[in-house]
Amino acid sequence: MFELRLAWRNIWRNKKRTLIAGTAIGIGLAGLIFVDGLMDGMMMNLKESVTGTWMGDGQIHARGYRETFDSGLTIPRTDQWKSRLERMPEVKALSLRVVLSGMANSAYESRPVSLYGVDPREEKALSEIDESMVSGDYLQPEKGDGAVMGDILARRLEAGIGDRIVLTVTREKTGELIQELFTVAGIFHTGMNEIDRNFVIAPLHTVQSMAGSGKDVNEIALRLDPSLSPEEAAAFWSSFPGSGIDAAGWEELLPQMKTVMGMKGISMAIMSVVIFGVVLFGIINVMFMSLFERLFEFGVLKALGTTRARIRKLIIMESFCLGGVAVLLGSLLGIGLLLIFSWTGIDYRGLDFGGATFTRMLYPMISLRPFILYSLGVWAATGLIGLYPARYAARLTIADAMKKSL
Amino acid sequence: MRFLSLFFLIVLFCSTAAARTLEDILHHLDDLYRSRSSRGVVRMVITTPHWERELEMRVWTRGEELTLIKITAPAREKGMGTLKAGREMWNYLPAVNKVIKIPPSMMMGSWMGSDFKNDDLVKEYRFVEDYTFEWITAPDGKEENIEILGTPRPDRPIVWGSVRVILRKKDLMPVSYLYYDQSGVPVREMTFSRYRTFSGRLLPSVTELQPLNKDGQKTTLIYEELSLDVDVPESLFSLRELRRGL
Amino acid sequence: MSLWLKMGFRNLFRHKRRSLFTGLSIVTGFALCSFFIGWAEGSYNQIIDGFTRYRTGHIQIHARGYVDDPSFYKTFDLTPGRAGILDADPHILGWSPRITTGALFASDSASSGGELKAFDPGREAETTQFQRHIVKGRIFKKGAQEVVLGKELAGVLKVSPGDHIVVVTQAADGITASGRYRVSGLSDTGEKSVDRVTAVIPLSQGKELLWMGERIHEIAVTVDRMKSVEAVKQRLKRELADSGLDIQSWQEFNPEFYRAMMADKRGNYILLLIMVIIVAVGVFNTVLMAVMERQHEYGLMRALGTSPGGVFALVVSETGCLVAMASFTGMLLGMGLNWYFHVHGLTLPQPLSYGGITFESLHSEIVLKSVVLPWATVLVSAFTVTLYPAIQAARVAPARVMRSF
Repeated sequence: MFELRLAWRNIWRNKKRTLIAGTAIGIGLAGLIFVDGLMDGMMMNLKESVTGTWMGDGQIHARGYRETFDSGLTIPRTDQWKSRLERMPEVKALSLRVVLSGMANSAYESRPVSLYGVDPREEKALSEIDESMVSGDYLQPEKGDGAVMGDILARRLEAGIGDRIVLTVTREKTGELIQELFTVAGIFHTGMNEIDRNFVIAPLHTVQSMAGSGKDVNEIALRLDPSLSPEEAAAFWSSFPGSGIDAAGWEELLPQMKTVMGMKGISMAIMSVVIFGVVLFGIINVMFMSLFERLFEFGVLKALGTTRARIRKLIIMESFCLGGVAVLLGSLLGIGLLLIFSWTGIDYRGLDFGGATFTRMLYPMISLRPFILYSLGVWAATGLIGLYPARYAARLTIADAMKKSL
Repeated sequence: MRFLSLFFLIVLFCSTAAARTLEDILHHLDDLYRSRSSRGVVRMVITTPHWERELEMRVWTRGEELTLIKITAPAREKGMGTLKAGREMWNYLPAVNKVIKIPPSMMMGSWMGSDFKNDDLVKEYRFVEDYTFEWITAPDGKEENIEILGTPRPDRPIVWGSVRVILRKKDLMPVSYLYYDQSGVPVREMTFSRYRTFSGRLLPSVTELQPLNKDGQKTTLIYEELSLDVDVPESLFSLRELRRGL
Repeated sequence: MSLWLKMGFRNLFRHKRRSLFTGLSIVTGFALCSFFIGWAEGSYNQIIDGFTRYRTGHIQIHARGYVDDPSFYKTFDLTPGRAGILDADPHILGWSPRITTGALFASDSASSGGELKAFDPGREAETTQFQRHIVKGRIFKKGAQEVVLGKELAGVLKVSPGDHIVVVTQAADGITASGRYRVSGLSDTGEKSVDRVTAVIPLSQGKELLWMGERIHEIAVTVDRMKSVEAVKQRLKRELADSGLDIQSWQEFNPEFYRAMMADKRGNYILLLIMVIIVAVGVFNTVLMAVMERQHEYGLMRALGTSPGGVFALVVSETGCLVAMASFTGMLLGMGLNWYFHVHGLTLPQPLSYGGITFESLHSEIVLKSVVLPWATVLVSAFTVTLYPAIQAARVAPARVMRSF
């Protein structure tokens, strides 16, 4: 349309000004895009730290298990569930776990522990215990009596590699005491206190026989396909009710993580307001400046019969074009920053955060939606802001216009 | 030729004799306090870095499964009791007039604050079945004591790396059990002394249990009186009897 | 000099709209930056305060080595002298002595092992307000033979308020001690792992049951403001110096929570940095526009004989006045925002829950940072951007400048 072409050419009449203003606003946009990606990356990183180390993206239990942690509550027909889950495209890895609480005895001390029975290979694909060993070896499937434990636990039991450990558990249903001998095959350090202080992990069949629940297990930990969006994941977790089991994603299992993320949302909101404020005045300033420079011109335009509506449209288009320049510059800058940092990463390792530890380098997340959201938002804002100078220009009388010029 | 075979025969006889004696010794130790039933008075002295206590109690047993213990002194704990039936255990507390079943999670806790665990009363490991022993000092030497070293058989849920048993050659009375961890560090020692004859059987009347990694900690059990294979009615081992005063 | 100042100031009113918009952009950036800082600071402090005040206390006192390796026998005496020192401190709002040990709990139908705690309900109410956690029934009365059970523990024992339980444990002199207590209420601290094993009885009952005399395991202390924590801790350390006690602030006895908060704050600093950059750029932009546009005018002045120094002074003073006034206004506005949200708080769209404490609104705080940082940002960016064109206007030949427009 005519006004658009004219508007575009108009803004380039003063290259410096357009570029400077465009850059300034663009930096604001870039800031939004970058911070959003950074925050997302941070949340993802934390979530990965927690879910990747041990928990998994979510877990399946028998109904009511999460209230009492009664080891007698097992997932009915575990093997059927296992094959069903294996066939689901969303599920990338799974691990069957028997969970018993009991006492671990060394020659010196006894301590209460959580005893997990897992298939070493399945568990390797799901959690990171195998990568966290500080001494000894990870579980070998053939060595039925080998167990690995957290380093804090090992220290408290005064146990080292090769030492004998007797695990005593009770079968809730019968009240029997079951004891089993294990050898400390390896010691791990995950950095998560809960795990390092309480966990003993041993081969599945050994712990299963201790539990006396046959082939059924207490917990199935799952890793989902990483390309799933949070909504798709949520849909997956809610597709299970009525089947007699309880399927929960990590958000449900770790509500405090969600909370902390909520705080970030508020911070982002405030920051957006700040940036929009900056954008607002940036545009208005520029628009009015360019307007005043050309007052004589507008006077002439009006004298020649240009309607108010067309003048309004022209100014709004100019505003849009300026916004367009800003959005272009800003999004390039924003994405550029994200790309740079997603290549180098940010080192937050070792820091604790709401019970989780940053165990890996932080990489910002690059996703389409926020980028489009912010770009369009800023663009729309620039257009809307143009309304004010547009009205002003349209309302000018010819005489005033020609008088006010320099 | 004939001397050679005779020689081999004698050696064979001696070695089998020795092997039999080892198993005999183990059986003897395992069955030392075993009886169809028993009745006794026991004193227990517990020493810790923070306090020292002495308990006096009456003990009845029937077979391997049933044990009833009642505290007779000191006054603050008089009337307290423990009943063990099979793998289950109950405590009676006169102060609150309540019988409490010891939940399985507390079975590894200490009994009455001593170095013995609740579980020790309930479970028994038998040298014969759960360990493999070898001679250190055989009975055919000139020493006063026999020494044997036992290693737990594979898969037995025993934390010890090994147990060194010392007993008197003349009457096969145990002198001490020394428990080692996996790397050969001694962790706990049980010593026996003051041998007396109870119901015709020679037994150590004093047993001391001492953890070697903790200073100032010791529990001593003293059998003041012990009658074996006496008449102990099964009805005694009931919760009602547990509650009843002495 | 004052001529240029006066002229600079008056110049602002010649182009009211432009001055207004430039000024407004500074005001907005300043005020919002200020608010963000105040709000971030305030909300974190609120969370930290809530967590430490209502759960653990700001400061805790133990016998040496207790925190790293708790043991029933690691006790210290609560002497009248020590109590007096705690009472005398004007910043201490409340302090509560506590005893902790392992015990066996039994009801008529079930028994379970767990942790027995004892404290004085009145003192605890002044300190952590434990009674807020009571979900059924009520807290025990001082000295009564009553007990409060964690919600899940009560479930395991199958008891409700009004029922009785028996507590069996080992006293300090080794005797097996037992007591019968009436369940007065159930507590929910928000942490299932705690509620499944904890039972609390009055301090005097605990002392009697456990034969403790004046020995206790822990004193929890809350102070009036987060800022006082360090000062109070140092003072207590000095006055209780002789004793083999560990006096620790929440950062020391609860390092996990501390690190979590620090990591979160660090994340916020990044946000802040970016925001500061954006505000600086915004100010830069608007001031630059204003100055650039006037180059023609300055060139004209030079042509008419104004000295380079004069032009320079004029440019600087004009910008300076505007920036100063706008910043001042922005500061007032920012402080106003902070004050409002300090008093009323920003209601969260969804209540925030951390460690069992729920926050429905978060409050801002008035901190020096929220004033100093925006001032620094605005001043630095405004003057940087004024300098170049000012110098140029002053130095370059008038014809060049007038043409460059």
